[in-house]
Amino acid sequence: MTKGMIFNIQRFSVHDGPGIRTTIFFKGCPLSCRWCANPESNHSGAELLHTPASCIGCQSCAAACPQGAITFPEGMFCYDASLCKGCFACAAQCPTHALTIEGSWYTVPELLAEIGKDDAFYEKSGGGVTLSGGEPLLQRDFARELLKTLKEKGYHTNIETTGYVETEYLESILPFLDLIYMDFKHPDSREHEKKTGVPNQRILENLAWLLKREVPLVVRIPVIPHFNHSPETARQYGKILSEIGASKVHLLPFHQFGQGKWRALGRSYDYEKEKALHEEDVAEMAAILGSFGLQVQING
Amino acid sequence: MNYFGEPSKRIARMREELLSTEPQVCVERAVYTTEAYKKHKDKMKILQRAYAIENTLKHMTIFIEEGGLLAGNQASVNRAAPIFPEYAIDWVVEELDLWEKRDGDAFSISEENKQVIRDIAPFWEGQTLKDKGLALMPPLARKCYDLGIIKVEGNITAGDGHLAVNYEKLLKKGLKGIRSEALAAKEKLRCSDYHDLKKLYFYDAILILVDASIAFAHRYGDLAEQLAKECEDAGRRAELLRLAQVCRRVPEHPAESFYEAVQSVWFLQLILQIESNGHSLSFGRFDQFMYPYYQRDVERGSISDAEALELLENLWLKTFTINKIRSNSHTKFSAGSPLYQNVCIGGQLSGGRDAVNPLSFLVLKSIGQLKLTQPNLSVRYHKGISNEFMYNCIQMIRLGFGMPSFNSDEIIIDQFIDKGVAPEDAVNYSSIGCIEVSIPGKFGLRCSGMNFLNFPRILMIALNQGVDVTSGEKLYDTPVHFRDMTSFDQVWQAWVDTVKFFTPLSVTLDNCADYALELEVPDSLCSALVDDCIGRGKHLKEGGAVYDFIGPLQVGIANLGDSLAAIKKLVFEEKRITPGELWDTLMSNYENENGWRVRQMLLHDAPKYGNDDDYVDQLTADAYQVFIDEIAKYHNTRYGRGPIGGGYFPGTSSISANVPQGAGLCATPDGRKNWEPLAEGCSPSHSADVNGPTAVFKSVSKLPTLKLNGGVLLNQKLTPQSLKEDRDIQKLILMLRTFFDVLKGYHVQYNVVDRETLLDAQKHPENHRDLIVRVAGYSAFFNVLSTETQNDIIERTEHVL
Repeated sequence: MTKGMIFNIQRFSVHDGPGIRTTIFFKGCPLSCRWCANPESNHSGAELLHTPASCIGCQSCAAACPQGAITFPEGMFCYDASLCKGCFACAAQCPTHALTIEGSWYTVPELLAEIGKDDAFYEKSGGGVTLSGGEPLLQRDFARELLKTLKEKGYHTNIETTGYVETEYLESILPFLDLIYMDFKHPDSREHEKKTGVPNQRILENLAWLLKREVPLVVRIPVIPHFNHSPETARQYGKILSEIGASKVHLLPFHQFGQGKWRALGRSYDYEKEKALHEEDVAEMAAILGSFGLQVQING
Repeated sequence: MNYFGEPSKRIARMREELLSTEPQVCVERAVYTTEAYKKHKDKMKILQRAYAIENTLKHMTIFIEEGGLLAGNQASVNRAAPIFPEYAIDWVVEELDLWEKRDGDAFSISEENKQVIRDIAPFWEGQTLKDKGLALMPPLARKCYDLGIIKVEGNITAGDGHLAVNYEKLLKKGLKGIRSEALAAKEKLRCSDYHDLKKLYFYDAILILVDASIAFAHRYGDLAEQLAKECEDAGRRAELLRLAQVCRRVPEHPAESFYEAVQSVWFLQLILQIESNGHSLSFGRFDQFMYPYYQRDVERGSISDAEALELLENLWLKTFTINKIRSNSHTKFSAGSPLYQNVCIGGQLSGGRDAVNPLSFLVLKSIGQLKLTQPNLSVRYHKGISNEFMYNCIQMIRLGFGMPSFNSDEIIIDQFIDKGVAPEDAVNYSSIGCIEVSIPGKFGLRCSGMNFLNFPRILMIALNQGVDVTSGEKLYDTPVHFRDMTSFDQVWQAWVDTVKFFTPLSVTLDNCADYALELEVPDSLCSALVDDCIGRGKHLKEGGAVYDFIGPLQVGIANLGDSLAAIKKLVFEEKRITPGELWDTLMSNYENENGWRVRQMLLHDAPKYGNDDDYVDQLTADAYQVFIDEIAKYHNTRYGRGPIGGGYFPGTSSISANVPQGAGLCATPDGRKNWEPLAEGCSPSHSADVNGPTAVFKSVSKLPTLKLNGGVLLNQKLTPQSLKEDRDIQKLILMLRTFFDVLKGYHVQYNVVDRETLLDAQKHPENHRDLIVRVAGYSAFFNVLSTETQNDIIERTEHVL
């Protein structure tokens, strides 16, 4: 049976589509956005995450590691990912769960059991299930199987996607989707590539293609300082999006919630010193997009 | 900005004055009560008490606040707590010098007044409710009382409270009408009959108290007129003259205007709290019985919404003036000197129509503008309640003072019918105190709030072969000590046997308290306002009420379930620790070698109630069920004496009892340390719920709610930003609707997380594992955010509220 690598199943998600939802976070992503709020989603395999707030420095992990990948210079946890062979004996020994394994394998029935726990809430609130990530469509067979099963069982389905996949594949999952949230991170392809690692062409093509289909689509723009946070970018967005027939846009102001996770993964983070943006900071962009006839909502 | 707007200048000033008033102790009631008891030494208790209240009402200091629209004060100054010597005097004298020095709930008292108390104390020695209550307790029950395993102190040191009287009848008939009923009943008595003879004194007490209450109101009439004469401001003079007129009409006569209705209800709400110091004396379905008076005034154009709002707000300020001093030890069970005067709004009319009316909205607005700790506002939720009304309720929750709490018709009406309450009465239920419920005007005292049973402590006794760990006293005997147990079945059997052993002891203690209350401190005026006391000629404690159930309270539900789950999984299934090792670790408070590691294992590797995990949720429900089945076999002191019921129903509305009950308990197998608080009500253990609110709702709904008439208390936390957008509020409403309509939840109330909590979470992340921050496509717990991000959220939190 196909299995999916999932790093979080989040109940009572209220910003990832209509109603009360459960969001399934898929691991692995073709993009590598420097600001990513879920950096643990980037790699496709299971990996180690260390939460300093929960760590009591008992060094049980260091003792458990056969590779010597964990050390405690000056009492501080230090992890060398290059030495790690992924046995995760360390996490099993961590008494406080400060070390956790991000990502575990699930079958579709296993996920359905978790999803089903909030059936009553979906029904009453018009909610359902959202696939998020990472990029859920990177695990293509599993994602399709899950969506198909969810649809058969009558769940409202939504996907948060980067759109960086083949159009044929998108076409194959379209019958199982009630809603699509697609990110569009920068209107200029070179800029897009600089900060996400990929050009935006395929994304834009998929966006244009999807907008001609029947499934409702919301374009989501993470508003990132010094990247796409400017009136000028908003005008570029407005022009392109109105041309391809987009109607709904969500502006997601940059936040720092991922910062702790970057640190926990032992990776360097470009936005370390950047301040979070708030509703008022993106109001001007919202107004500009609005002037292109787009319906804009700030935050999800 | 307050969604409900700001109160008028007059109300704002009065509110400010009250909030800056330091609580004192007032000795007037104690003095006048003692005087009357001495004068009427030869009389039956029921008459002595009536004369005591009469004497108090006649002589106590009265005043009308500057700008006040309503009359009636409990003590010589606002926010002063009277002393009720007939209930208990020992702690009063012992703690006289300590009241000012208390950490919480401090009260000041002058040296002169301390002497007054010392002077009257000798008269009461050996004569109080507490003395009689203690003397009644059989030895083993007394031992449980002394050790604090079963807590009934509040029941023998104070009155009962916990009911709503028939204010609807008061407004329709006036005390005059009650008087005629009592008089007519008295005239039919044949004093040659023992039972009738007993009734004679009850009726006489009612007549004394009714007349004293009317005279008390007239005193305010005279005072208002006097003040009017001295008043130079023409507007204020007119107000005072109107107040004088109102006080001369009500509560004696039926109310003819909204103003009279408010004043009449206040007089009785007040006098009943001079008659007895039992807390949780509740208003009942305020928006229902008051609505005809409001509606009529609005229709005839004699009142504007602004005037009605001021009257309501003045009433809530008056409600806030009532105070109560409790003994030091009891204060911990009811922290914050709460009186729990509950106002219930919403719900349905018979036939299921939505009962929300314009007055319901006005009550919300008035309480929302004042943001005080009293009255305690409860909303009766039901399927047909409008989104508009719910939206207003959530706006009030956003204000962050914990109100309103929701009780749900979708289970509570069925609970009452299940207990034999007539459907037309069940549909008219009202919230009482904090989350309890009863039938206003038809239900006995203390529908909930009798003894507190400490479940985790009983579990520890069960594991320790009947020896209480805290005191070392052997109370019971089981065949095997936990150290020598070889299967979870043995643990289970020990729990079953031990909880069954303590159940009748708890009932015995309740009965001792009730028996003493019945003989020593009958509440005749209160009884006169509850059906069918006058008809039966019996006060409430003799079985006068139409319905009479009482609810003992079980404390530490989540700790019990989590402890059992940890033992079952870690000790007997995974064998990660032996019973002996676990026991030693608990006894050392995790301070033995590897103790900290064991604690982390207990905390993190065993399932916790509140996460929608059937393993522990089912165990919790099953363990509770043992007690539920057992307590159903017992009766209260009114059984077979008139009321429908006469039994017990369990509940978890244990207010702040989880703190002192935890303070007397060793470490427990759920990873809790020595003396740490237990879980509140039916809420998960502190920060044990990490799967979000829907998971908590699911866990709670697995408890046998239909049988928990005494209340299923659930506190939930909300971060303010989660209610920032209307679309978020709508989702919260839908979540509540699911909890109540589909999962048949009983109650929920929200604490909006404030800045201080977030600051504390920064410092002590381990205590706030359940704080969740949510945004689109992302979620995390507050404690994994970087300090900078946490600071940003904290800043915004201040901004929102």
